[in-house]
Amino acid sequence: MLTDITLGQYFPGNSLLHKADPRMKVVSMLIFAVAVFMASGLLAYLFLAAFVLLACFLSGISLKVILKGLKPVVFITVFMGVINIFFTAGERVLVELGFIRICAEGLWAALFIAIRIISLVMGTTLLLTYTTSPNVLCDAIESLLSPLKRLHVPVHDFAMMMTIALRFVPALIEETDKIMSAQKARGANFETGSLLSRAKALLPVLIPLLVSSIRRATDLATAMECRCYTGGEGRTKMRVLKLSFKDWLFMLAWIALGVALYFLSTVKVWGV
Amino acid sequence: MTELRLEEVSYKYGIGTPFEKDALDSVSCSFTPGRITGIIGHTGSGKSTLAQLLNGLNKPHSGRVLIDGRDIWEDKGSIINVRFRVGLVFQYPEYQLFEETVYADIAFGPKNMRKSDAEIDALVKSAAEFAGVSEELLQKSPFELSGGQKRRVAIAGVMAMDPDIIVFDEPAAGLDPGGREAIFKGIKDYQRKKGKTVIIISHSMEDMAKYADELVVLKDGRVLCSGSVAEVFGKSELIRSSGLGLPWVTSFMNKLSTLGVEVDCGVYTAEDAYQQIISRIKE
Repeated sequence: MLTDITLGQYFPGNSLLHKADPRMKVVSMLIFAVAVFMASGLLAYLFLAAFVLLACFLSGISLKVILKGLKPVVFITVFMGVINIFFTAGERVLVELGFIRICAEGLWAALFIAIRIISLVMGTTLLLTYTTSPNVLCDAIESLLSPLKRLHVPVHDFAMMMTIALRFVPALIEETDKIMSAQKARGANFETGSLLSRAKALLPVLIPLLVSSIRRATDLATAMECRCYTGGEGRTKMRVLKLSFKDWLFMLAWIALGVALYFLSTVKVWGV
Repeated sequence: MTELRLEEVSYKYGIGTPFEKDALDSVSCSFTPGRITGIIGHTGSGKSTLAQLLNGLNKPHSGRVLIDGRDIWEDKGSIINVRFRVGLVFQYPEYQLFEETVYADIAFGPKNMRKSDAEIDALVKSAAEFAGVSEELLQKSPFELSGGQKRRVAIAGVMAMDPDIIVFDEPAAGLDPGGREAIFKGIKDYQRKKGKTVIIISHSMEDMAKYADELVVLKDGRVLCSGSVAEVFGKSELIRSSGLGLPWVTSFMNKLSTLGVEVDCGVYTAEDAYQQIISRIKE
């Protein structure tokens, strides 16, 4: 069922990751994304995997839920792995069958790319979606981008649009589920048939969904206007973000990860 | 006639997530063929979940859903046929309309059943009449209609499949009193003329008192009590303790009996109440 989607979902909690300042989390996420690409070599990748697992543990979210959220990237991971196994040229040949040549280097590359993709997805979702509520995240982005206001970039409007978009994701999923059920009750078939007929079968879902999205948007706009919303000018925040010493330490941990990965990459174990 | 029965059916939401919740807990009940059965209960009592188990949209995690004594999940491939035999009208069904014309939308179900054009035409026309969709609306776009008209079109869309059993989830939600009455009268009329088994899910005791023959009362995912309307409303203490209100006629008769007037507390229509009070006065 569609309601089983966990990627992009927030799990309330009270862990170290939940309590960190959202701005620091956004910056840490960027640092992390760069750090992941800094890694090369077995030692660095093992360290990266251990670091991400530690973050999982600290978040207090069950590993089962996190692994379930990885489902959408399974395909790309396997695909990249297979490509690497077959197309990495190397010296230590393991199997040679006609034009197929599998080298040890290819197997290592496949493993590394898997660790890289999975850590990247796990790390960013842990930092941003699982442990940060969408509203707080939008506040953080607005605050981080606020210097752009000087250049007349409508930062507040963008942040508001993002908040609203994120807020409607679960509502839309629920609505899609409901409309799909209603059409199934009238005999619609989404599961079998050719690709073309299945695409056609989605039409009875997409049209009502589009209509109701437009209706929701107009309703929301009216409701916001009724409550005198006029944009960001002079608007104050209910939650004022404040940085503490701990938050700086939090970001420092991620920088330390990057530095560690950089130096570990220079060390070779078993020739990789 | 088709007999629909539930045996110890349980259903859970969000298995394996922190949000796991029991929606239904070993629910057993049966729906008498050819009658209107009302399923009543509070918001969150599991009414709508139950509805989606009746036509195989959801699979119970334990227990069986039986049609004429056969488990509907016995053969997974034929579940679509179950959906044609047990029609389900969702809550706020007007949001499922999508076709260019009202006619085409009502014909969506019969078309999925691979009926011939002539059969489809007959089914659409008859369903439109029962649901109160007038002839001139058929060629209009469903998006031009009023809320009440859309609702009727959506109901016609399920009636057009000519199911043996038809389930309505809050068919009158959000309509004005006139619209409510028109919808319920249409359903009753359809049930009487076609001899169908009808199941109506509602939280309105008044509507159920007026239109249902039998009742199943749900509370927190369990069956609190079931039986004929008079039997269920006769258990006024049980119904009250579960936080559901009684129809005003029944409440009134209960008050009378606490004042020492000997009347039947299970009475739920104004007509019966009137007869009883008159006969007491004559004594």
